Amino acid sequence: MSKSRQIRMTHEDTILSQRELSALMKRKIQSPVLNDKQREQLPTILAKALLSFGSESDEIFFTDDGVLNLGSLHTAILRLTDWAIAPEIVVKQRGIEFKVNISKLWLHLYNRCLDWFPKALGESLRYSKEVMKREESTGHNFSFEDKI
Amino acid sequence: MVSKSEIEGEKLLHHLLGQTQDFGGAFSCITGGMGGGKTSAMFSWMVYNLKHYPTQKIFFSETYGAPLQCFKLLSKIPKEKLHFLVMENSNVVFRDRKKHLQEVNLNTTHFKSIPIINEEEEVIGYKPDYQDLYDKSIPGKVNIVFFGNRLLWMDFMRFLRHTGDWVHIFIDELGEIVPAGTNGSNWKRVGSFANFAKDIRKCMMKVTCNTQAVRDSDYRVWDKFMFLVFLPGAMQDAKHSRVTQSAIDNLRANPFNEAYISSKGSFGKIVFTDVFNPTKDYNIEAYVPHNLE
Repeated sequence: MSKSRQIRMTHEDTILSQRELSALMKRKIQSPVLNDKQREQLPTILAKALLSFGSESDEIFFTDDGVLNLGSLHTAILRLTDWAIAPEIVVKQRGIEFKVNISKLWLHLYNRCLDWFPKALGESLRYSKEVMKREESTGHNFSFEDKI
Repeated sequence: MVSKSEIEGEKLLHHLLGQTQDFGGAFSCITGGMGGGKTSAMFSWMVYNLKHYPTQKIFFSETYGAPLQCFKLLSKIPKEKLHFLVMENSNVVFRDRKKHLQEVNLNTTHFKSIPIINEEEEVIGYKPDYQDLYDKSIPGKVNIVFFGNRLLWMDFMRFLRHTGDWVHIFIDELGEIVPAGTNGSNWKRVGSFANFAKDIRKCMMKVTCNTQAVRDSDYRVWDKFMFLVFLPGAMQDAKHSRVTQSAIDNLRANPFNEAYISSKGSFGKIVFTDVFNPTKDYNIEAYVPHNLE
């Protein structure tokens, strides 16, 4: 596995990401559990969560020779809803491919930022986490090909 | 992130499949519901030994009157790796269930039998020549042995303890080898086997059995299992393992079978990632018209 790096953010990145997330929310998150006011607040909330995520985590993104900016996280967020199908996605940014572990990203959001979300969405996310827990096997994979 | 159950699972597998004098042999039992993956789990370990210990002998005990499970192995290994051994005078035949039970030739090797003679000097049956069987078995292949009477596997295992080699024995449906609820001479015979089973570890024998429930076999053997493996659909064995029924009920069977492996109070979780599917020959059965003893 390639070397992990701290995400480096600039003010420009933050503004860009918030704008992208705003657009994303309008396009993608049409959750029926939210009322109009909550829906309006959601982009800011999620951007805040991601800022926290970006500044604290150094184990989510793996790259040999690049730095992932916060803006490209929107692709990851696009997949948040179907993380069970693709637990790891590749995000292309400035010609470099970054591997994003959606499960870890989600766990971080859940553990650190759940309080910032509206209650209804929080419940929905909590349920998603439980599903994810069930999907992930905690056993040692055995194959006759591998020497114990 | 690695869970504790995963670490424990790997550790116990290391004990079960590894070959050091410290650990010695192992006597393990795989339990699970019908279609729970017992045979696949056993085959995973069988092929593991085949690949990683090609100079050692592997013996496999199949049931009679049902499609031979060994043909599922052909989804992972070539046909030449199967070696069928049948006792002379055992009357064991192989029949094709899809061709109106027509007899088929599986290129079997016959090993010698010794006549059992009564006081009137009449031949009343035959017993196997285990040394001849052992000599004719081939390392690096799965030696599928047919005596015509599955109870004789108890005696064969007793013979194998003296070989001094690492040997692998895989037994499908243990309840037919050491059945529960026997009486008379079979009661003593099973008791004697249970007594011997404590030496399996010391004699460098790796004995792996499967059964739907541990209680299908004689209770005197239950205490001798060093490893218990619980697949989906298995029943809890509270006396010998800490694995609870609700934990077993939460095991996943899709896409791969999860299992708990338990030994001496500790347990871990493993996932069998090899799937052994039926092949075109999976309709041949072994048939014996009557027991010889």
